[in-house]
Amino acid sequence: MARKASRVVDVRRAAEARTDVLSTAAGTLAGMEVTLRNMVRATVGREHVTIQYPEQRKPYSRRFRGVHVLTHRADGSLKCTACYLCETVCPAQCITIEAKDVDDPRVEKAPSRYEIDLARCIFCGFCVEACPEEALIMSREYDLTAITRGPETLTYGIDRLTERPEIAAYGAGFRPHMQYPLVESYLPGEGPEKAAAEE
Amino acid sequence: MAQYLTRNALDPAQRELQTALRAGAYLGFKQALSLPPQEVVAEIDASGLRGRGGAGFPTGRKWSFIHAKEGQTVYLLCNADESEPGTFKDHYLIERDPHLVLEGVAIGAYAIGAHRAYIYMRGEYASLAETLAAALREAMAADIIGPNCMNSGYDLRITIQLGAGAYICGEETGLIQSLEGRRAYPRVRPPFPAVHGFLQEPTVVNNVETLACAARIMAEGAEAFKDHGTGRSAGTKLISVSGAVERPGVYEVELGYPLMEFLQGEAGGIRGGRGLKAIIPGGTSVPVLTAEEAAPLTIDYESMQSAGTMLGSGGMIVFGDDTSMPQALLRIAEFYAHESCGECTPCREGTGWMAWVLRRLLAGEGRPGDLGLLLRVGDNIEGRTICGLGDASVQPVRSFIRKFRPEFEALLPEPVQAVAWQSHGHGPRTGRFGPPAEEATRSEAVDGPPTAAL
Amino acid sequence: MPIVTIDGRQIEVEQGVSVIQAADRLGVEIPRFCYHPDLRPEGNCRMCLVEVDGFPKPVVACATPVVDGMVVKTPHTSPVASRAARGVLEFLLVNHPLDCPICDQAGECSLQDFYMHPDYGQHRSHVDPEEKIHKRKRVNLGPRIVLDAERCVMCSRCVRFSEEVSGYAELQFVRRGNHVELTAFEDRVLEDPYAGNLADVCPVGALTSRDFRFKRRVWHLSHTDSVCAGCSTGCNVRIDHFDGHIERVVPRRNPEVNRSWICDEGRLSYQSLTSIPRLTHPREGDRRLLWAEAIALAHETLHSAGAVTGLPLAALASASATNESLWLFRQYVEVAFPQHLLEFRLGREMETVAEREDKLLRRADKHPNTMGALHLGYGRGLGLKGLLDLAEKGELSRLLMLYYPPLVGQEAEETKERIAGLLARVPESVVLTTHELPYLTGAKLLLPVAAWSEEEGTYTNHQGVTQHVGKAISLREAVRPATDILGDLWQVATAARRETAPERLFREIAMSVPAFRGLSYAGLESRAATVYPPEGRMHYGQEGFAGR
Repeated sequence: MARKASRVVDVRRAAEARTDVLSTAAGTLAGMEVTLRNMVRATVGREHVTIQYPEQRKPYSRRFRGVHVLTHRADGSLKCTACYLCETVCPAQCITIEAKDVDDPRVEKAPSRYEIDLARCIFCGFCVEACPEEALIMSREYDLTAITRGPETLTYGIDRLTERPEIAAYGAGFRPHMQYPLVESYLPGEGPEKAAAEE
Repeated sequence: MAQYLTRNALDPAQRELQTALRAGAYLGFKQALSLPPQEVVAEIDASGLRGRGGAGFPTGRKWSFIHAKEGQTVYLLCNADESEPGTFKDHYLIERDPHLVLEGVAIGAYAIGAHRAYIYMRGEYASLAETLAAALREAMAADIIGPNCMNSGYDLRITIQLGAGAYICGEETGLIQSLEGRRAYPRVRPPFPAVHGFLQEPTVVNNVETLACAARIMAEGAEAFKDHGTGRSAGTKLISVSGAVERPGVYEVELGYPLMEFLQGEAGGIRGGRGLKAIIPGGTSVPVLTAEEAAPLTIDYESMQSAGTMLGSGGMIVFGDDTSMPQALLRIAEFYAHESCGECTPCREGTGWMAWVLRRLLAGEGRPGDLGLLLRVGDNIEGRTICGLGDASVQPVRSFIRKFRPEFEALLPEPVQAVAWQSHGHGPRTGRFGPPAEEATRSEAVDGPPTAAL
Repeated sequence: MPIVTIDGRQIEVEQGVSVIQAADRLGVEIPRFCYHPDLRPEGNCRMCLVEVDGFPKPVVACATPVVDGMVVKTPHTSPVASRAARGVLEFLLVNHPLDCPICDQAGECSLQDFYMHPDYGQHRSHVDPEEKIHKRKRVNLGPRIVLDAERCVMCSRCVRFSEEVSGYAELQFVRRGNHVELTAFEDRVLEDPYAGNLADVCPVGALTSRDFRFKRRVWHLSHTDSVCAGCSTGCNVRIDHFDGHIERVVPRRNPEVNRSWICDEGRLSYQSLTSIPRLTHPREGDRRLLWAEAIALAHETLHSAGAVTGLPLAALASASATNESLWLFRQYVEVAFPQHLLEFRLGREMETVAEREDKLLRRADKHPNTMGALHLGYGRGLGLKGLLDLAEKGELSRLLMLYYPPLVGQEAEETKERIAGLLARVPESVVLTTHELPYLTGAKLLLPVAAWSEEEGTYTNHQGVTQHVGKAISLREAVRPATDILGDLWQVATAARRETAPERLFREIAMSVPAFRGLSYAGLESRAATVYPPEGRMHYGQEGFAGR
């Protein structure tokens, strides 16, 4: 939609015209321009502006910062090496990590516990930007509700951060190098096996 | 050709004590024993003898640095490690005239007041050690060396020690460490070995040839020594010439002898009648000379210094005009990377880095800026290491690249219109910490401004 | 004495002091890897190169003694020195694996710190990971130390530590050039009882502590200066804790006491605080009490029986208590019980207080404050053995005991039996202690007190040096410091309030006890040594994470 060019308003003349009933009405109507246009569209043209959420959903930006996802390697192990950079950078201090030794000589270290308290999370995406390995990215999942607070509802552990139906349903969201494909990182259900099967 | 040090060397019987004595062996030692030690030092000082191992430090002065305090034991160590590439003069000397070497060791020990001397020989010289040991046994049986040497009341014990064969064991303090039974890690100076050397006692380390010269000087006088050579470079020098010459080998040359005359005369000219491309005059640790630079030079310390190089150990390596200088440099650089002891950082990492860059250059995987990188790495090694190996490794790299740059540039890939990689942006990543994929853009990173922030 | 100018500032130092030591005294930072104040200088890392007027080349600050009139320029002011330091740091990083995300040293790593410094770091060379020389990772060097040879900068601090300090000499370099690798002889595990220090002296992540491995990122830790309570040496330590848990204990440098070292037993002594269950509430038999009830009951227990029989009260306080607790304990006993037997000896503490267990730090007396107890007038009575004999004769009916189990090792079986025997024979007993211990179950009333790291105070070590012990961990459940409990008992006994803040108590001690005369609490704290890492290195950009 093209923007209207700005006009110069003569304040004195506008003040003189204030008592003018017609121009007052015209001003009111002008102010309601968008509303009226949509009203006409909806009633006459049957073009609906609102959607029937949650049955209907609008597509969200690919960069949307929704609920986090922990990615995994080709062999299915967690990409995260428990470097604590996300925990360090988190302004809401909602990430809790505990690390453990693993037998894999390439990584040595992996999280034994990785929790994000989504009730505290402000979805700023700093954690994702801090991650040097694209082990933590965001999804486009936005409708996060629960009727109680606490670890069993809004604190997501490794299990829910790696696998949950919503990840596939909403798709991947924000990560720092959006313009390039993920390097050796896979979302749940994805992996070299799946890519090979598709080919 | 001079015949001063190697006068008796052609006689195979010279190894035997009787023959050697007939030829005048141990006369110098006898002469020395008749003088107080200070006068021996003064005599050597007067002869102008300079160290033949590479650095060319005046021997008399080195000896005069020893001031043993009460209760201290002084040691003389003879450096027969001879590990500089292209150098094999000490081998010749020990093999042909072992008694001359022993006499030199005895004189040196007497002059500095040592009653214990060690001859540290490289491990590869095992058979040579046997020759020297046989000579030592003979000399000891004849009471020339041992308790009460030649009835003078002076006691001396000489021990021959074989090293385990590492370049760094030829470095003064590395040799001391190795002799003490430790890993041959050179020591930080100060304190110098003259103060805290072998077993933390005052110590002098001398090259084989230096001590042999000292033996001759004591026998025949400083003046006879100065009859040879030039003013500041007195005496003769053993030159071990190798490479593209018709007659490689060890030659005794009067200092001040024209280099080209020696090359074309004694050494028999360049092999196959080819042209001369370059000469390394004193072992691989000194800068290389082009044929033009070498033409007017004479074989002595000052002349070499005027051309920006050094006489070094006298290990002369000659390159014919069919030599690939980058390949020759790679061999040298790999030698230093392999022989760096790994103690101090610049040499440990720098020599390996230079060899690695040269290897990729010669494998056809060179990157723009690699030559600059080599020179910069060299600059970062030089003058920042504990011992001289670091500096030594830089000399060939720098001189080869400066003097034969076109040959190196030919190895580089065609210049690409490089898009400078911005480290702050995000390029496509190839690996875990990968830079941008394009090969050509790496030069910026490698050649980046290390000094820009200064 | 020579006067040296470093970066335009002058300092006078003793003969033989090196340039780096003079700079440290001035507070001028010279970057270093191999130099350590308590090890022989080796000069191999070449990071401390400085420009000295009149010298053709930069020289190493760590091995160059100061000469009068020397003018030194560090990388902060000299382009020559700065170029040298930058070059050396670049070399060190050529083959460094850069696995900081999984490296425990990250956050207190010299390589990281120096790289971030504008005068030594931030060069832009790039070496691909595939082109680096790879060495062994995660090498098991025993129960204390894990080796990552790739991260090593070959500074040889560890080699020198094991040769010069602990004397075990179990580490050495093998191979040459850039393939040099640190190794233990034949890959045997380290037997050194001081091996934990290797992780501290390592300026990078090559040697890391197995105990602390992956527990916590160092920038999340809070630090409290304290003194080890493992034996009578009193090594200065720093307690690193997070969220109310001690994550590790590292030594602080104190040249008079422990230099930069601590034994492994002391380093891990914090584990014994939690390895056996703690006493969490006042308890009479199996019945939990509120503190008000417990204090009233304790008072009743200690007074009723004594009044009837006229026998003395046995008061026994462990030499692991702080000077402040011991002082208040003694005052309380003297004020509330005219007839008493005051004692601290559980075993042979008085004889073993200065007895060495090895030639470095460990001592036979496993109490941190035996000297303090002696200074405060304890140890003139009968000892535990004597009290037990009295009890057997039926001449003891009341016992007040302040008992801490040793942090290093186990209490001697003999002592356990004697304590159990005493508690079995004395009908009215009140025991203040930290843990649920089987040999204390005979007590009528058990009161939970704060353990080491949970209360503030002072210890006096075997040399007679009084040192401040910090409070790192907040108290859990109903646990209270011994001084508070004694203050309450005092109040019940005398109907007067008693000041129990450790600082006030120490002031009282300093005024009344000759051995402490002239000392002040603030003075003790400031006398604590340089913080870890021992050479007083600065941490760049760390403020951002503080107070987490």
